[in-house]
Formats: sequence, structure tokens, C-alpha cells
Amino acid sequence: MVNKKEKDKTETLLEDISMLEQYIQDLFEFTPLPLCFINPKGMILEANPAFLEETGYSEYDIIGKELSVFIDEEIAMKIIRELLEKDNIEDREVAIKTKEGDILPATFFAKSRKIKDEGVNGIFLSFFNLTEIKKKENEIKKSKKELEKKMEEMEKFNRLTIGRELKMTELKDKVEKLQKELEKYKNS
Amino acid sequence: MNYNITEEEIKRLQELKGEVRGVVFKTDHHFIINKNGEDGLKKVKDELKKMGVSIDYEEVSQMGYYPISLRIFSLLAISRAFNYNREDVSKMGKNAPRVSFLVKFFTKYFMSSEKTLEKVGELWEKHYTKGRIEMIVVDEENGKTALRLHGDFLHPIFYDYLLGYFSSIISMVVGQKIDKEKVEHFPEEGYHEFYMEWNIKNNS
Repeated sequence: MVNKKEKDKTETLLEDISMLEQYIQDLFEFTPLPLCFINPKGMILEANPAFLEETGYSEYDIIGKELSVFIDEEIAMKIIRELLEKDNIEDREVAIKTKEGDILPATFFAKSRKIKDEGVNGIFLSFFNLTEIKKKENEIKKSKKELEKKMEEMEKFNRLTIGRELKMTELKDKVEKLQKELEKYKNS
Repeated sequence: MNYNITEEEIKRLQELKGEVRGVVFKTDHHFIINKNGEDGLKKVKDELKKMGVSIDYEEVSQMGYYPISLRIFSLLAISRAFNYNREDVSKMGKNAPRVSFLVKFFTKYFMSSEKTLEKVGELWEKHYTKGRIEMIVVDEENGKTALRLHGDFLHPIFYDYLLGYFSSIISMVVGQKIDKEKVEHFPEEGYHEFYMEWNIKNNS
């Protein structure tokens, strides 16, 4: 009787774990933010669909490969070393190598996963693609430069036109003065 | 060398006792679609039909149990549909852990690679009700490991596939590329041994 109770309990627990795993898996697949899980040796063990879409790799290309597949080797090593010592890295810029060989400017967030009494057993790494933001930033910079140039030209033009107007007024005054002098001379 | 199978072998395979989790067929399905698309899947199903077997890859339940013979028939059908030799089958085995839900779950469990290596046998039990894995060498320091699979699975394609499969898992766990791998058969003793070696690289 006790055995049956214990067995039922185990089955219920296994069902709960299975449901929980499914929930985590669904969430992992749903999130639109590129996300991957790396073991302490730097091997990529999992990548979500958003990650695959953003980088162009397939699961066959990337799972079981080193982090240096998509991040410069030296930086990848530095990230791993850092996360073995501290909990997380937030909002740090990094260049992501895509399968096609393009470089995506990105900002990444990483968090070490710890097992009680054992230490770090892996790293969650997520990144945000800054390509569009950088593009807009460059466009704004370009527009600003153009605007500054235009303002400079206008100032120059302003200076020129004001100068000319002053000269015209001066000449007009001179002509009026001369005309008055001429009339004075005629009348005398 | 490509794989052949006789009518007699098909019959013997169908009588093979034991079960396998549906996740392996999902992995095969993923592989077929990824490499050869829907046309490839049709070719594989046609090959299965020729052997008198049917697998509904789309409808398989990941955690459900299926006759173990289907595992071997699926591999044979894939190898025949795409004209795969032993090396290709081993490569297919290497790809499998990359998409297997059970392997991903397993590799995230433990902290040390030594501990994970010791538990590879448990991964077998999560997939198969037949056979047993015994880790006979776990020597991360010198870059080698060996495991022994107890049980007779009747067709060489399964062992070629497993060589790639184990090699890929070990590579993921130790974080190194496997340089040497081989399988040796001991039919008298009723087991098969898989050996893997890698070059030690300082990660620190």
C-alpha cells in the first residue's frame, strides 16, 4: 500500500517536472530575444529560434560548437572567465558574427546558472541587435552634420547680405548728401 | 560501403525485443527535413515501405515508447533513401544530440564534465529499454573516454550511428573536438566498445 502511494507520488512529481520543462521550453522558444545556453567549457548547448533567425545558423551549425563561432575568441574567453566569478554581465557591446560572415553590432546580457553547492554549470547569454539603432544613429549624425553645414552657410550668407545692405545705406546717405550739396551749389 | 538488409534480417529485426523513446524519430525527422525537405521524407517513407514498415514521423510522441526495431529501420531507410555510407551515418549520429530534447535536458543537469560523463549511461536509459551503457574509461585529464554498450542490436548501422552520437555528446560535455573515434565489437561477450580521444586544450 505504502509502495503504491510512493509510486503515485513519484509519478505525479515526474509529471510535474515534465510539465515544468515543457513550460520552460515553450517560453524559450517563444521569446523574440535571441537567447542561448553555454556550458562552463564554452560549448553552446541550446539556442532559441530567435537566436537562429538573427544569426542565420541552424541548430546543426551551432549546437555543440564553441562560443567563438559567433563571438571573437578572445572576448568569448573573457566573458566565460568573468561569469565563472560573478553573476552577470549587463548591457555590454559586442560584435556578433553571423553565418553569412556579417558582423552585427549588439549589446549582450549574460547570467551564470548555478547549482546549489556545486557552482556554475552554465551561462545564459542573450543579445540585442543594434544594427537598426546604429543605422539610425549614423543617419542622425549625418543629418546633424548637414544641418550644421547649412547653418554655417546661412550665417555666412547673412553676414554677406547684412554687410552689403549696410554699404548700400552708406552709399545712399552719401548720394543724398552729394545731391543736397549739388542743389546748394546750383542755388548759390 | 552502403548498408544492405536481407529478408531474413528484416524478420529478425522485427522480432527484436525492447523499446525506444519517440524522441529519436523526431530527431530523424528534423534531420531529414533539414537536409532533404518534404521530398526527402517521402523517399524515406518509401524505403520503409519496401521493408514492410511504417513510421509516422510527424505524429510520433517524443516521450512515447515504440518498438526498438523501428530505430534500426528508420536509420536504414534514411541511409538507403540518400545513399549514405558508414561515414555519412556516423555524421548523422553526430548531428542528433544537437536537436534532441532529451540530450539538451541532460547536458544542462550537471556542473562538472567528469560527473556528466559518468552519467552518460543514464541518458541511454532515458531512450532505450534494451541494452545498457557502462563507462569504462573516463579520463578527461588525458583526453580519452570509452564506453561499453551491452546488448545485440543486430545491424551494424546502429553502431555506426551511435559512434557519431556518443562522440558528439562527449565533445559537448568536455568542450573539445573529438580527434579519434572507433567502435569495436565483442560478439562473444555480448557488447560493443566505443572509444573517443581529444587533444587537451587549455581553456583558462
